[in-house]
Amino acid sequence: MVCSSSLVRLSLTLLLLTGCERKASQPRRALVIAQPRAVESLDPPRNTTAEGAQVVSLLYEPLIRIDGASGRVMPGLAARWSVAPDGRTWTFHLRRGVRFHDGSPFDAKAVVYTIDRLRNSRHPHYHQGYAAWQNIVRNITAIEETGRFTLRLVTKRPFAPFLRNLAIFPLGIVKAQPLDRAISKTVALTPVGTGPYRISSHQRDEVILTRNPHYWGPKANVERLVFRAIKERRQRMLGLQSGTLDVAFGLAPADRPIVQLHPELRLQRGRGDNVAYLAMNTRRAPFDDVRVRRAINHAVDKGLIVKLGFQGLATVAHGALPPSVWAYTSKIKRYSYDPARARRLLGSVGYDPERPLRLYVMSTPRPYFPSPVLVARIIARNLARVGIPITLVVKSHAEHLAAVGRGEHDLCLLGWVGDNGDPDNFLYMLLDRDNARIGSAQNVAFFDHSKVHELLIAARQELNRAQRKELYLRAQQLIAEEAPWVPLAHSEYDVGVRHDIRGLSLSANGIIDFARARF
Amino acid sequence: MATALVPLVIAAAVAHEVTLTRLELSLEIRARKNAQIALNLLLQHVQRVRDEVEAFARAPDLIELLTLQPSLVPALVRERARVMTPAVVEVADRRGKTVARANAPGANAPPEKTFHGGLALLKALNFERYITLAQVGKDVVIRAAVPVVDNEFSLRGVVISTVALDDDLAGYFKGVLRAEVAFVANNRMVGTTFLQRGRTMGRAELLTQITKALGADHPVLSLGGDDDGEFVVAAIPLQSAAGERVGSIVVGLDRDEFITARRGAQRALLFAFIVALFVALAGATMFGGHITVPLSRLHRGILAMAKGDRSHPLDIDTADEIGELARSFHDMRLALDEHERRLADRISELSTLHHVGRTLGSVLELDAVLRIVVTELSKVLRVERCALLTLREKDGELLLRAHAGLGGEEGPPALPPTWLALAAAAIAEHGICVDGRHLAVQLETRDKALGALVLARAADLPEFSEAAMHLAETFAGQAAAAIENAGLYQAVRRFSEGLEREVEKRTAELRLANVELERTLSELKETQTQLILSERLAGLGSLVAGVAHEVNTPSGAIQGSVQILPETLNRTLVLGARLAEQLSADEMRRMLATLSEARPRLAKHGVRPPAEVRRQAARLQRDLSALGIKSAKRLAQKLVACGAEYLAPFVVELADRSDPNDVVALIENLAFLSRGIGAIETANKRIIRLVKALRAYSHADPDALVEVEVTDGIETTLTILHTQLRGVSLVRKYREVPKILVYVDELNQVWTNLLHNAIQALEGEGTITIETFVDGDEVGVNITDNGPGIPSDVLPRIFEPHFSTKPRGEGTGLGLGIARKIVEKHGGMIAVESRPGHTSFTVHLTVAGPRRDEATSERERV
Ligand SMILES: Nc1ncnc2c1ncn2[C@@H]1O[C@H](COP(=O)(O)OP(=O)(O)OP(=O)(O)O)[C@@H](O)[C@H]1O
Ligand SMILES: [Mg+2]
Repeated sequence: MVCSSSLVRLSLTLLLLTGCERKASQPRRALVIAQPRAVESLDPPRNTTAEGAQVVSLLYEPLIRIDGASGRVMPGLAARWSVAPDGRTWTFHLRRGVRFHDGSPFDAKAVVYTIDRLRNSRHPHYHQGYAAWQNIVRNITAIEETGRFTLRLVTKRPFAPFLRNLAIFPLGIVKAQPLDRAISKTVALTPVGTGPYRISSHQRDEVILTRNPHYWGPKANVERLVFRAIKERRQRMLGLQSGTLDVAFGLAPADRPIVQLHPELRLQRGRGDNVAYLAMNTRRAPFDDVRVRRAINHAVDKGLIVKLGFQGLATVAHGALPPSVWAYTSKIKRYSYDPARARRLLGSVGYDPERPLRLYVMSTPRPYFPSPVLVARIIARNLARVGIPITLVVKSHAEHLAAVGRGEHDLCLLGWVGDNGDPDNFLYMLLDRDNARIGSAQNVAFFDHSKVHELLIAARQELNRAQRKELYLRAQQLIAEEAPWVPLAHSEYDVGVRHDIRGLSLSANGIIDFARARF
Repeated sequence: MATALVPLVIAAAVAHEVTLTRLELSLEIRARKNAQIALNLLLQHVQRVRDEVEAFARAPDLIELLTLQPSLVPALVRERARVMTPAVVEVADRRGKTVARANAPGANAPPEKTFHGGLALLKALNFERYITLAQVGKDVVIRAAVPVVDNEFSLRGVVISTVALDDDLAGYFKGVLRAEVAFVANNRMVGTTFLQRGRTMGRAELLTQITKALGADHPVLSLGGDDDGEFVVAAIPLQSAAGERVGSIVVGLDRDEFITARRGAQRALLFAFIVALFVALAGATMFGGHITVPLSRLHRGILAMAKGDRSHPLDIDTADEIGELARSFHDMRLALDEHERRLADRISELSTLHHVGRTLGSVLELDAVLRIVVTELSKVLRVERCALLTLREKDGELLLRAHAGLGGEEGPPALPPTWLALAAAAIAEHGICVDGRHLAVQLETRDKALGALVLARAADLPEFSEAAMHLAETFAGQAAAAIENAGLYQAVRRFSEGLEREVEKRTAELRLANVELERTLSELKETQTQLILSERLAGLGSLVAGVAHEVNTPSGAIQGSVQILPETLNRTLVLGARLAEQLSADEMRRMLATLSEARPRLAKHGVRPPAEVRRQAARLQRDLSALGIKSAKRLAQKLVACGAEYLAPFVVELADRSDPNDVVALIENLAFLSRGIGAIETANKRIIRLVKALRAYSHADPDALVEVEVTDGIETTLTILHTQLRGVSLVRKYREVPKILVYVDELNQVWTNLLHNAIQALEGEGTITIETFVDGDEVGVNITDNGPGIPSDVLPRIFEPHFSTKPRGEGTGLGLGIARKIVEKHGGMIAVESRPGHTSFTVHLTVAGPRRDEATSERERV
């Protein structure tokens, strides 16, 4: 009797215990992720921000993928590819059995549609928001379906960054729409993709994605992802502490220690392939004079900026390329912090400010600028000290981008997170004359230098890595001499995460692959 | 016989075990939860320490003294330390040499030598704001270090604050948690409250005991003597910013509660075992888990909340009423939190906007308007000086139109020359321009620049934050819209005054003038959309005043209940325990069932007139004395007072085994509790509804067509107009109608305007009838009041903009015009019918919503 009673006792106790256990660790099915600004659009090429890139890269997949850890080129929706000896004709064999979120099959037609729509401004479904990305496909001269799952792409000339450019998020493949009709507004805003997640709802400040159960690759672990735009940094931090948020981007430096002290939170740190810079509008006086630009380079105390504005989580930049990109060089002209020299230089030019210069800055923290307004204030002081009065023009990130793209500034703060690890993605995108078109400029210094242009174009067409590197070396040296920017910093940055979320890694392009997240 | 008893014995044993395990487990879980809360409290404390240090490091007098007169710094630090969290505050110069050091009263100094060369100092000297938990010597401390940076961003020094995790801090945590707290580090007890209980124990021994308890399966710590008690303990590790373990925080829950509950449970089981196996099981579980524990959790939650700690979690997950109470309590807390935060921010902004918006709507005197703009704005943004400049159209010159703080009582005030430049910059940029502590933001309407606002903060205030910039921008936009209206209105008036004289002159000129007038009028019409915006703003403003009041009332109710609830709960628990000793388990269960059944009724009981109470009590007293109950008078009075006279038979029934005084007291307490909680529930619901309504009203996406129930908007509006509806009876005749596609916020204005007019017409008494109906493919809404009606000579003009019969300042005459405009934009129409005692506005809306093209063209003009 004793024996049986204790047996029952035991089993009942066990039952109760497991009952409690299960309750404690109820499966969580959603991740709530806070970003400091709203996603621009769910149509991939209408995005230029990290927030947009983050979300659309879960919905749409490009032909090529860059491996987050190694930085190597990997198959995406294209399973294999080859290039003809002329270096211009590429053949892609697409992955079979892939389906779009609406169940329709993926094939070469979708790829042709996606690329055509972007490169051709007269395409019936072209949108003016694509302009910023057009240059990544501009030199494709022909696209041809050679079979249901094969495709030929021809470039005007051999084009070194070609494959890597196909991996950038604006080239996520969308389902083809009939060309004879105008595209409906909903489809235009939310095209159909193949990615591990699909759209569940989209409001201005909240995008909800659900797992794609028919995904061709390893399926995502987490059922739902909720991306929320929370402008206030305190709100993001509170959410993280109280458990209403699982992941928070855009942490202020001051909030990092609190995350570190909290045993249930951790910092996910990313090495960013990025650069933050002060661009001078070279199209206008006084910055049309290289001596003034050099003076500014001597006037800005980058060391202080890295300490105060990045709280040490960055290294001082001297050029556009972060050290992690293979064409990086340290053999370029460096400008030391030397206000006296800056003043002398300005004196020799005879620069006399008749009005304060306008320094444009965004109020929204960026992955490459945790506290942009503070950095702008430091620069304003630095310049005031050498006799250049500054007025700050503060705008939200969206308005800031529009204004500097139109070239309204004298000076502006901006940065870039590399998309694919290729030097072209920095140097050509940010400093070539091709990208200095008023209205959609990425080259916001409006730096227009024919020798640099020649070198950058030659480097694009050079398929030999060593020779390409040589070309980039010369381009970087020239750029440093011409000083269209004050390169400020290459930063690491932190994302706040609940400690029990695993499988996250911040790749060099600043994107977290949430499809790999698990609890 | 003996064998027949075997299953029952097993059952009893099992049930006993189950109950005890459950109680013990729930106590353990609670201890762990409390440890979590303790951790959150600690982190809150860390943040507070950091904020204090940062505020000090930014203080202009510290910066100045560090630069100019370091010898005066110590006095400043001493003074400052007095108002900070008890800490050791140190200030070092830019080379890291200590300049001053002060102990706040009650702060224990960590050894001096550890300060020099500390990591925190190094980090701060390198411009890093640093905060950590660290072991310093034998102590564990919170340490915050912040660089002192002057206006030129040069380093002037460092402020470091060190707060020990000591007995005092543990005491503070204990106050919040109602649990014993200890900080343990390095095999030492650095701070604890346990020792106040375990008087016979030393620190070292206590630590050994705690360590032993934590290592056990069921962590129970016994402090020895009977008084000292037993505790269930839980611990959470503490880590430094670098992730090193620096100690742990231990929380202990008193087991007394558990022991009382166990006694009750054992008794219950004794009887239950004879009755039946399943009853026993059910009874035990219910007894053990479902009542005592949730009640005490609720108790704890309320206590914590009364102390202002809203982070205290309440996880009570039972399906009964206590669970429900707890949940509604929880909801209320969440709503309050959310609400308080938003409201505090919004109210000051909105009430200013309201003030300005309202005045702009009615005064229409440009100069008065501009004066209000500058004075109000300076208040919200803590601005020392403020100027409003307008652009002269003919030459683009900027003229000072209004100002605050610029002096110049005699003659025109002096405008600093840089202000003009900054204002011009803001106009050119269509945005905000900042120059140190100066900020300029442009005033524009429909892409036409009207001028700019320039704000300047005093040198001892921080530069403008991003939030302040944002607010200035919003404000400027709204103000500009109103300024333009005012300007146009004046133009028309001036013109018509002149017109009269003109008439006497020549008809030819009159014709010409007529053209001019028409042009001006059409321009006025053009700005109608703009007026809608400003009207909406005015509407919002008057809401806020109402809402602030409305939120205060329920908050007050909650506050009132929350203050008394803990004590009542305590008493209830004590009485419950006492009765559990006196009654059998069966009786106890029956009593609880009866009482829990009675609860909703008790909750609803209102206050009765004293005369009636006296009459009923007298009757009840007679009945009770007839049954031989002692002190029948007092009992009767008590029962009647709380509306529980119908429970008298129950009191009588238990009278021979228990003290009727206890039973009645329990009923009384329970009634009180129920009413309190009922009040909280109601107040809570009201707050939630208000917040929802406010959000629905003001935050609806203005560009989105949404499919809604037409009554939703009406109800939202009614909620918001609630205070004004006093004395008015509302009759709702809502029929099933299809959903309609609308711009929510705009349609709400239609209801606001119609209802507001009706309310004004009724002057505090009468009836408003709201009716919805279907008419073909249209949905109709009819709003009728039994006020004085609209005279027939007035009726044709009521939709005209600016037509009003109300005194100046009360009506702008825009309400109905706007309403009609919005309804028409939705592809609907609005009709009126009026006779004395019956004024009825009918709005027809198409189910399909506005025609697209119409809607967009309208939008673009806005
Ligand atoms: N329900 C009503 N009963 C009696 N008169 C009404 C009613 N509704 C409107 N009116 C009359 O119509 C006039 C115009 O109303 P309208 O709402 O356009 O402006 P208002 O109420 O005077 O001003 P505002 O709406 O700015 O407060 C009112 O002045 C009033 O004379
Ligand atoms: Mg009205």
